[in-house]
Amino acid sequence: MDALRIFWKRLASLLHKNRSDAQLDEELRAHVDALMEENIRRGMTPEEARYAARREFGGIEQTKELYRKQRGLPFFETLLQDLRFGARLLAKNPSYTTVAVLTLALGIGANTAIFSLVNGILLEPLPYPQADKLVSVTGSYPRGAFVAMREQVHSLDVAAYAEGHDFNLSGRGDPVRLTGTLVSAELFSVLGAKPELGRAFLPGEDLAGQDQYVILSRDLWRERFGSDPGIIGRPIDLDGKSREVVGVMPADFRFPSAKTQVWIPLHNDARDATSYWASDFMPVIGRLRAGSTISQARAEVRLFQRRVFSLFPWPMPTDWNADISVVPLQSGMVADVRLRLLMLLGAVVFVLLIACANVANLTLSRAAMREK
Amino acid sequence: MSPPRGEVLQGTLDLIVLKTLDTVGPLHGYGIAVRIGQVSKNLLKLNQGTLYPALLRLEQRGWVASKWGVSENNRRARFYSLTKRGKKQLATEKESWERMSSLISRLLAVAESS
Repeated sequence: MDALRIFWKRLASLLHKNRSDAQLDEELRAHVDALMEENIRRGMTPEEARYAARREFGGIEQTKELYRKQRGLPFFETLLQDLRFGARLLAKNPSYTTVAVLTLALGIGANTAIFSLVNGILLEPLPYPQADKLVSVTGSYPRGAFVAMREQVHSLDVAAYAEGHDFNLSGRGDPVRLTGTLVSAELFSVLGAKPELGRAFLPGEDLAGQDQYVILSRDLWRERFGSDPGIIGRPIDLDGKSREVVGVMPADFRFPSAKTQVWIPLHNDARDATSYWASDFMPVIGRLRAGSTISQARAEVRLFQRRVFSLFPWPMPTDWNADISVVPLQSGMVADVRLRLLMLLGAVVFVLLIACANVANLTLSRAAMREK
Repeated sequence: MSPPRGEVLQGTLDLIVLKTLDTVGPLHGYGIAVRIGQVSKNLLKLNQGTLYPALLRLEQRGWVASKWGVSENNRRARFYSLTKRGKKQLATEKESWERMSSLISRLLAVAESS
């Protein structure tokens, strides 16, 4: 506590240095004068008196030095001095300074950019409620296998999605191609994402015949439908099929990517073996149910994976989903990007190291030149 | 104990100044120096200038407070006075000093007798 108080006093004294110096000067002079007067009273001449007084007192300049050292924060004061000196040196050598600054700026700038990217993609938490319960199943499943998993795996609520399905919107001005994602009915509830308008899909709405619905992205709703809230409940024409708009997602909802403009239910038709078992091998995400751990989910999924072979109408290659696992959603989603991002980060760190080496070389050569 | 004119260590100077202010009351730097000279019968070789960094140190620790006033010959002077915390510190240091000096005396007595 004492040390803190002393520190503050010394810091404060930096602000009043001039006044403090003047006061000290006055004090010391008064002291020496008093000594001198005493000496005169004892019978010395004024000259002798002053000389003796100075000697009795000790060195005035010395005292001032000691006082200043006690008063200030020598570390900071010398630091300030050094900084000012350094700045002057840099100003006197503009070409060197420019090159050094540019080199370091490039190195630091590149690192900042890449790190921001890495931070945003790999380190930021998912924007869903209780995101630590979200997992990704590291395999891919056709509709039939997914439906079976949904029924048989009890430690997770699962959802599947298929990207890369585009739809032609017609009947509303010029026809336009929309980027869409097919989703299982529970996708939004698994994520915990609420629509901004209307509702999400209900369980069962991904069955063939009961799937004539669509959910719009906010951007699409604004651009193509004039942000009209009356769109809920009205039909639109996608690829020639009429679908009722049941909901609009908020602007910051970007699953599985920001490009998705419409979400369409899966259309699970067990009678169409090809679409049910052989098309759209989809990634699966899940939310841990209360009381389940990720290792329990992993064990269950692995067990399921062994059973699912028998559900297929034909033999599946044995290495399909061979090293299936359940991992937290964050890393699973970006698994393939993760390695590349980290390599990029490593590369740009080396760029910074090279920049530092370059500046060091520059400084060294300057010093060598000065010696000549 | 009549030592030759001894140099004064930093810690003991603090104790001496605190004690002086405790006995005499608020005093300026010159007065403190004079008083120390009187009490030690000039056996204490005090570099009078060292008083000022010492007084500053005591002030930074909150044991002493300073105020500008008018001296006995109508001159402007800075007066130093003991604070409450300073009084407490004086008691503490006095006690530890006495303890240490009695310990040393005892050790020296033992050494001589053996």
